[in-house]
Amino acid sequence: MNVSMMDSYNLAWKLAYWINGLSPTASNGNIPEPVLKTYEIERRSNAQQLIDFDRKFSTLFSGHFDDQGESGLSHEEFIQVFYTGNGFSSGCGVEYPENILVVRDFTGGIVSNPIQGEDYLSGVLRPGRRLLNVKVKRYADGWHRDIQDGLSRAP
Amino acid sequence: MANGTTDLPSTGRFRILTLTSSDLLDPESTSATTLNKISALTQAFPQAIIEQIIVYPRLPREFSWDDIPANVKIHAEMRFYNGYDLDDTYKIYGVSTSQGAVVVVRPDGYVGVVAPLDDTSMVEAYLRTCIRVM
Repeated sequence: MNVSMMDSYNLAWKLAYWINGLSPTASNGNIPEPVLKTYEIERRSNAQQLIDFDRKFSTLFSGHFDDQGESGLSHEEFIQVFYTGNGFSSGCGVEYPENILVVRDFTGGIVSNPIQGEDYLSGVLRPGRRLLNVKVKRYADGWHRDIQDGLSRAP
Repeated sequence: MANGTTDLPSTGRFRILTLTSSDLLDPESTSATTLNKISALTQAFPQAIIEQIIVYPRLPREFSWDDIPANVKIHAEMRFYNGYDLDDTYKIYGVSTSQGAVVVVRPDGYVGVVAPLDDTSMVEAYLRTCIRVM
C-alpha cells in the first residue's frame, strides 16, 4: 500500500500542473506533456524493482541458507535483501532513474559536482531521491524547525 | 479554466533550496549574487509556484538583515535558516560550506537537480522543463 500511495503522490502533482495549465506544453493539448510521461518512467521502474525484489525475498521463507548459493541465499545475500526490503517498506530507499525531472549531469561532466560523498540513504543529496529532513534554526525568530515543515504544509 | 495563480492549494510547489557558502556577508560574493539571481529567475514563472528556502553555514560574525541581500527578507523571511546549530545540514547533505549548492526540490519532495552555487543556469533550465513560463 505504501508503494501505491507513492504512485499517487508522484502522479498527483504532475497531473495537477497539467490540468491547471502550469506545465510547459499545457496550453497546446496536441503535444504530449513530457512531465506526465515521467510518471511511468519513475514509478514503473520502482514497481519493477519491487517485483524483482519480492521474487528474491520470498525465497527467504521457502529456502534455506546455502553457502554455495545454489538453491538458497547466502548470509551476505540475506543481509543485503533485508536491507533493501526496508528501503521499499519505508519508501526511503527509492531512487528514480535519470529523466527530464531527475538531472544529474547537465554539461557532460564539465560542471563540477557540488556533492561530496555517496551515502545517499543517510542524506547526501542525490537527484531522484527524497530530500532528507534536517533540523534547522530559523533566523527571523530563533524557532527550531524541520526543513520539511516548509515543504509539506503551509509555513 | 482554473486560475493557477490564486486557486492552487498551499502545497504542490517547487522549492529552490539554496545552501549558501560562508561568503554570504560579502555583498559581492557568490552567495549574495546567486541569491539575487534566483529571486530574479523566479519572476519568470507563475507567482507562488516556486518557493525559496535558504540555509547558511557558520559565518565569520554576527549579522543583521542589512548585511545580506534584501531579497532574502522579501522572498524567504520565514524560510531563512541557520544550518549548523541543530543538525549539521551541510555535512548531512554532502555540501561543502566553502562552496555551497542550489537544490531544486519537486512538489513531491524529491530532489530534481543539484547545481553548483555559481551556476543558476542549471536551475533555470530545470525549472523551464517543469513549469510554463509566464
